[in-house]
Amino acid sequence: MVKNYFQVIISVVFSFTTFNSFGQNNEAIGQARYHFKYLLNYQPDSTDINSVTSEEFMLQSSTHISKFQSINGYKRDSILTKISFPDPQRMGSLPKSRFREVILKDYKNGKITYRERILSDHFEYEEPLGVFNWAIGQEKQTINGYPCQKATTTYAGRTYEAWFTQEIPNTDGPYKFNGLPGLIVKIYDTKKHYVYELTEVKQIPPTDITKEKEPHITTGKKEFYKVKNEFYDNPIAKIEQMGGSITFDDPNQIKMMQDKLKKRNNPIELVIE
Amino acid sequence: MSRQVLCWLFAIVSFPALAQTVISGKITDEEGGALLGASVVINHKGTDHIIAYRISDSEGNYKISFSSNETELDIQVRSLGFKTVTKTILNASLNLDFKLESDTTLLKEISVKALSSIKKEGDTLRYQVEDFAKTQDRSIADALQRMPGIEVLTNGQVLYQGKPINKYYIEGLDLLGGKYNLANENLPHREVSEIQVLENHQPIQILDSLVFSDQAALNIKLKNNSTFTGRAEVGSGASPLLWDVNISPMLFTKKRQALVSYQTNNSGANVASQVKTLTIENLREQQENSSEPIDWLGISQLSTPQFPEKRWLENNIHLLSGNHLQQLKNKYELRINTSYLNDHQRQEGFTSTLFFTPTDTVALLEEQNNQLNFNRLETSLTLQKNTNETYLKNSLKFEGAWDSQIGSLRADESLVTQDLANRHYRLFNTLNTVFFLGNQLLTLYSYVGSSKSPQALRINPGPFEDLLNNGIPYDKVAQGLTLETIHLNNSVSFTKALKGFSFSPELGLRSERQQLTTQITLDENQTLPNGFANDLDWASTQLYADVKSQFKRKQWRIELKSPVRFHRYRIEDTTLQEREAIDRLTVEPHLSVGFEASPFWRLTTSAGLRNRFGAINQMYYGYILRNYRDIQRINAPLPQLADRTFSGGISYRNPLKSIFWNVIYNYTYSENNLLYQTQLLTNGATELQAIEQPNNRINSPVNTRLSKYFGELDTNVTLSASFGLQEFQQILNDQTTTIENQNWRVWGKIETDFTDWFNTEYRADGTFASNQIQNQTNSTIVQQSHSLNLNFYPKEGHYFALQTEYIQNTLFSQNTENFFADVIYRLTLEKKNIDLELQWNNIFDSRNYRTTNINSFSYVETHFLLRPSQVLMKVKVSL
Repeated sequence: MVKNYFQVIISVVFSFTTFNSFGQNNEAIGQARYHFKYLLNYQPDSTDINSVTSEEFMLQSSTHISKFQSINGYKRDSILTKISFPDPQRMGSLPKSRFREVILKDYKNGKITYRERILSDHFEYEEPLGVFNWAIGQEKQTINGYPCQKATTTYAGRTYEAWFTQEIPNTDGPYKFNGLPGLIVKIYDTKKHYVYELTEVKQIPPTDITKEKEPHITTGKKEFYKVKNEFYDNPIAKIEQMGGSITFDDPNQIKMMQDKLKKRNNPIELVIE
Repeated sequence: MSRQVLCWLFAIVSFPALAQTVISGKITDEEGGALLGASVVINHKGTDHIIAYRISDSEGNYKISFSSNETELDIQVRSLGFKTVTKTILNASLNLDFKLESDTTLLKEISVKALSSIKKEGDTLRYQVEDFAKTQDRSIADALQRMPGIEVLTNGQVLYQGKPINKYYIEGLDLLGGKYNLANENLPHREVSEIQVLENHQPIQILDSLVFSDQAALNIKLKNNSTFTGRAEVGSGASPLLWDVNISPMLFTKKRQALVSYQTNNSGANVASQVKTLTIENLREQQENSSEPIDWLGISQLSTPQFPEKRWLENNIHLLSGNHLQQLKNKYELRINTSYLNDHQRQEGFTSTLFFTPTDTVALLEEQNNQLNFNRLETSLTLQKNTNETYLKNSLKFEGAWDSQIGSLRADESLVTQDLANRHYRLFNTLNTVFFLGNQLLTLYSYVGSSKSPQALRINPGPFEDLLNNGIPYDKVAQGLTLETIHLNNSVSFTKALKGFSFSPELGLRSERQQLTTQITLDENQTLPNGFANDLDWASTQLYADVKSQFKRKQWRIELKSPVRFHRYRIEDTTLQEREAIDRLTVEPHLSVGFEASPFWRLTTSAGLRNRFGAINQMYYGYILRNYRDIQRINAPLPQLADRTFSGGISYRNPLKSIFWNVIYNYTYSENNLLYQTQLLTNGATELQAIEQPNNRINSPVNTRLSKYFGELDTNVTLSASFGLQEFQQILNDQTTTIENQNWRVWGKIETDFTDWFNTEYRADGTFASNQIQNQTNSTIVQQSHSLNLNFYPKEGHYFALQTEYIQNTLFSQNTENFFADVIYRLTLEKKNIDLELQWNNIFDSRNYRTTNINSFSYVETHFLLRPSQVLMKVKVSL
């Protein structure tokens, strides 16, 4: 009988997350008046153009702070905050996302805080806001109803073309991108492996931008990606490390799972400095 | 800081020959408060060509350095929620402050909907299959993989937006439950017109608006009114002649769906596990409703080895299962699931047993040859209505077992034949419904069941002649037994959550009535008198109220359970004039506390009280001959145990260093009102009786585990150790004895991925068991095993594995060794959807396995005859 290994993993991981993900403690760090929704089309396997898939993200922005997170991650957090003690069985029905990161941009202190959970561990690292060296071009086009202007930059091994609009005088953008005199409407790397596009601008009643209070493991950027890569290289070892155990009827399944993960060979940050 | 430098550099590079202009200032709102994040842009005059720009800092300050040969420039200041200011200035360094007026103009709202071969209506997305499927695609799973937002994992699990779907419907019907892979991989995509994704699908409709679901369900719309498809797997091998067959055809129509599966093999694969479903509901039934049949009587069996069944199970199994779903009027659905299993198993081997008594050692050698026949029928009829107003699920289920076992046993030159007929019938009904009472949603659960287990054991020649036949040897004995049970369990529950707290009360009534009749007949017709027969009437009722409360704050998580139960027992054997009546109220608080000291350290502890009562097979007043050398009566009060439990654990995880360590300690102190007395007879037969004498048992295991991952070597190392100590009292040949058992286990594993196409896994396991009776220590038993697996993936679609295992047991007479090796080769022809597999198991034809079991007063050494070396070739295709 073929074992449902993914569920095994999920249940193992779950048993570790129960302790700290129920009834998340969040604190408000700002108030958003607009929701900016971005659609990301990305190619997780750099060798397979057919692997292109998409995910929706949300940027919540106030004057001094902003938060960028996948919509599913956002929904998951809002549900977890509301329910103090969810039924463990129902945990499985919470939204999941391939993008677990939360990116906080703190304009007051000039830093980006990147947070991501790997299995049950919450990590965070910081990076200065001003890492982007934008060159503003003269090209213009209207994207999704907003007049935009082109700017280019390089970051973490990719060259990006960005289209920003001064109609939304907000120096923010998707992912870590920021620092243009207007909101980024569309940004993509020259290979078009990662394409973020603004799909929704919506005024909302003032809503808290929240940050998890849970203690995070603060680390350097390089160390974080080392841990993350180790997980992708050998997830089973990593899960067993955490004290879980997985048994397979067929070692071939481990290989299939590793192959599956190896198809995610195209992270947005190719070079970590 | 660095951005400043970069902008500056940018300005320099763009206009290298020109003089530098620096414009700086402060941006404030109407009240003079500093404005952070405003953009200040220098444009060519009258255009929107940006020369330079800056974003104001937390004090509202900006400073722009640039070079330009123009005499006049435009400076523009923008901030969200404020009016844009544009000024024309001279190209000269200056200080320029801005006070911005607030602006109520809103941003232009947009909402872009992409994607087109996909239509969206409300929460339903529709994908047209023809637009996505490609020529090489065969099954619906292949086509699904190409649909945006949908992902199919290698094991067949379907994800939508990265999370698993919660239902897989075909034409709106859920025939297969969680086993949808069977349909997904075998249903050709050309039979399907449309895939519907039902977002935020709450399978229980009455909860739809109340309990949020973020999972999606998939619905397959078929082109035709009926579709027939399926899958087949055929394997054959030697020696002896082996087969392994699995044929699963299926039929889908709009109102009716069916899936049939026939599986048979004699290669040691126990396919019986496939028809077992272990959902939470079923587990609850097993725990609370004593649904598992009790094996009162048995033939003498060999203890089975602790390694995979494929090495030792001599089987001949046939499994037929049928599933049928029909849609009825008024949104009712009727589902029938039936399975029939026939298995013939053989066991061969011998056991050598040493009984230690305070005065003597008794040795016994038994050669055994057993034939086990299993006939099992399970059928269930489920009626479900799932609408916005009602959730109702009622299952009526029948289970029947007609098992027979024949054992021939040679001990001390005499042959004992044993013949067991073991039947069990159970009919039960489970009702689950969710409804409103005012604003509160209540869950009602009801179980009603009845079962009957007639069992008969015949032994030739008759044992226990002193007890049963005044010391005169006799030919045959027959033990007959019938247990009839009626069981009810009804409960109502709900959950209420307040901030940080949650309460889940449950109220219920459980009631059980059992009737046990047994008799012993010698030589066909001589029925023994009263002391050897039971006519036991057993009634138990429990009224329970359970409140579970949970509390969570900061790093603390506290859970308190405090069930209050009223127990009523009425036990009576009118013939033997024995009776017992108990009315007792128990309170069983259990507190558990978790504390997260840091992201690395975590502490947990729990403590509680628990009461346990005996079951009908733990007290009966007349003798029952359980097997050829075990006759028992437990003429004693109802066993009542009071447990005090404590546990504590510490864990350390450092994911940055890839180190994990934990230690868990458990302690259970049980007070028992009964002490068991085992009489050892000179022929090795035992007689168990229980007498009323308070005694206690201490059980305290401790486990620890350490693991480290070496990223550079792609190697994971795990070490673990456990120690268990048990202390209890027992009466052995009229003397009260304290018995102490000790177990050690040390276990380790190393896994290394050498390359993409080659990885290895090595495991080592050692156990040490010893016991002490009245301060006299008996010899220690050591068992160790080592296994090494090598997996190769030379090319896409090819898989080759070599699996080896070495087992060594230190027995009380000598050491034994076993070495096993298997090879597997698999070829996957993905385009044709065919798998070819070749297996050669037990290459070295290791046939004899010897193992030892230690229990409170004996060592048992078992010799088990294993399966011979065998080669099996399998082909898997779609019908």
